[in-house]
Amino acid sequence: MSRNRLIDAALVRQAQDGDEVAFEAIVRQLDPMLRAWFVSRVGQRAEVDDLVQNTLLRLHRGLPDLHDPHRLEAFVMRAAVFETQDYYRGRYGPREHLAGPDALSRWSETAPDAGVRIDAERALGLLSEKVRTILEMREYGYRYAEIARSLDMTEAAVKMQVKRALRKLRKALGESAGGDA
Amino acid sequence: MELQDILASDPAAAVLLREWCTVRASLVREMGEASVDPEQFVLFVLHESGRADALTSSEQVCVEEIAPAFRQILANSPGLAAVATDIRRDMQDFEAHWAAWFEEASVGKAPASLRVSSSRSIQSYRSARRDRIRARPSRRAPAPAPSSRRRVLQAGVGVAVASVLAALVFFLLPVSPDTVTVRTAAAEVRTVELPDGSSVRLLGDSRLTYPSGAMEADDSRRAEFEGRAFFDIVPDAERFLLVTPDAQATVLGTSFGMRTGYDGTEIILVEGSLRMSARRIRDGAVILAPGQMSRMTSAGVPSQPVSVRVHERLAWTGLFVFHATSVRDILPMLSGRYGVGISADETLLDERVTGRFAQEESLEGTLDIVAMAIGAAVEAGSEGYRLTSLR
Repeated sequence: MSRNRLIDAALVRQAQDGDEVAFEAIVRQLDPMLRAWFVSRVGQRAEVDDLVQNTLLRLHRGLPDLHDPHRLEAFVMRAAVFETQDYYRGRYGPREHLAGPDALSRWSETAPDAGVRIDAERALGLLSEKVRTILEMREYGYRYAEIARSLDMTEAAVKMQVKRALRKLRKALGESAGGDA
Repeated sequence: MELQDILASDPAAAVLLREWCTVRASLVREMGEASVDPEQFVLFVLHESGRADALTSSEQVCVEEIAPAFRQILANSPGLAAVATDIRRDMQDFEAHWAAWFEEASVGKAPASLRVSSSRSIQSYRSARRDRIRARPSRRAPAPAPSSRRRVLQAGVGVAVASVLAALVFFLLPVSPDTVTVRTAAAEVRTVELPDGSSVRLLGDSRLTYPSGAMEADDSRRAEFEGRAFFDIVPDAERFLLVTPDAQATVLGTSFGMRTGYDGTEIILVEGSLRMSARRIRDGAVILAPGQMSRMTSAGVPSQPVSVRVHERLAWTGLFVFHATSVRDILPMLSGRYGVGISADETLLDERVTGRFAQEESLEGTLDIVAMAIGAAVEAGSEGYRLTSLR
């Protein structure tokens, strides 16, 4: 995975030695490539500038750790994947103000402990694999749009699945609470 | 009423919420370390996918330590497995993108690789072209009497040969070694950044050739194109010349959709001004204004520009292209695309919006921008979304 065709190793070594002109030459070649890559991921959005910038920044910071200059492609790939993941996890976008399981957690941090004891595993067992996948991705930080893209669903369908799952859990938890009492 | 107020007045709801939070905590616990350290998780996936060379030595040591635990988590967590798939897909796509990008770039510099690359592309172009010719509707007149049929067939063959030759000449002419050629596969969409800052959203089965240099010299703002694309040409004192097999467009700074096909080139202008003419005949050129369309006619000259509903005519771009489009027209489009009900205050329906959005963007993102443009707020409700006037 070291198809470093155009950016030769000597140039990378110069950049590693602190030659800013060499690093700029590398950036000039990487910038349009990265721009096209991020547009292909996230569309023609204002955030693309930041994604490119931060990827290059990661590269700049990581360059001293690149022992083999022929591995530049792998290093750039890793930086781009990091930034893409950050984008999927909402670091670049406005916060989602939508009803969802995470919207409730802010309250839970300040809520008084009601002393509730429930069988969480049993409750989770009620969820289908699809819903569990969605909830876990959401916990990981993925935005609904990215969950939809990743699972090849529409965003509306993802939200609908979450809504139905919460309804199901509510019913099950209600029964459970009733049983305990 | 705020959520906290509701919960304060409804103890049952508060208990229910507490239960849900317990379930949620359990979910997070099962996701383990991966949920709290996404970067570590990315490194783990890269490592497991045979890309250890993307990690530093110390990262490799660290990942090897945590790998058994992460493998266990991954086996029990469908959500993290989906994220890992996503990471692997991005990783592989990036590697393919890198290879294609620098191969294309090296095509401009190394004539030897140009020959290899071009011959492969021409083969795929030829087969695609054959398919298109097969699928092409027949425009032939009813069959004439047998005596004249041979002449008509000969003429038809002659026209066909001329067309094929013209196409081949267009594609087989040696490309200047200082150019870059980008080709897209059948269902691929790729955005190409030109050296002058212009960008082109290339749709499937398209080809764009442009100078690899800075596009600063006289007449260097020039590109050859075939297929379907949306162009954003940045303003510059130097004109931009775009050439297709049968037409050419001259622009300064503008955006437009263009597609070429067996029935000629079609252009729909969104912003700026554009001059369209036949490729080799200067007579009969037309000037397009925003919102107008023209296409090459059988007479070999562009048709007189006509006003069209831009958002409908450019739906094939995969963009929502609005040119003074009313909110009344925009809402059903967004609603249909995302499958969610969207309404607006009556006073907002005749507000007009100009802009464009990739259809793959989230509905919330697009709605936020539309709302900002018309001075409205977006409210999410059980029935969908509503734009309410802020004025």
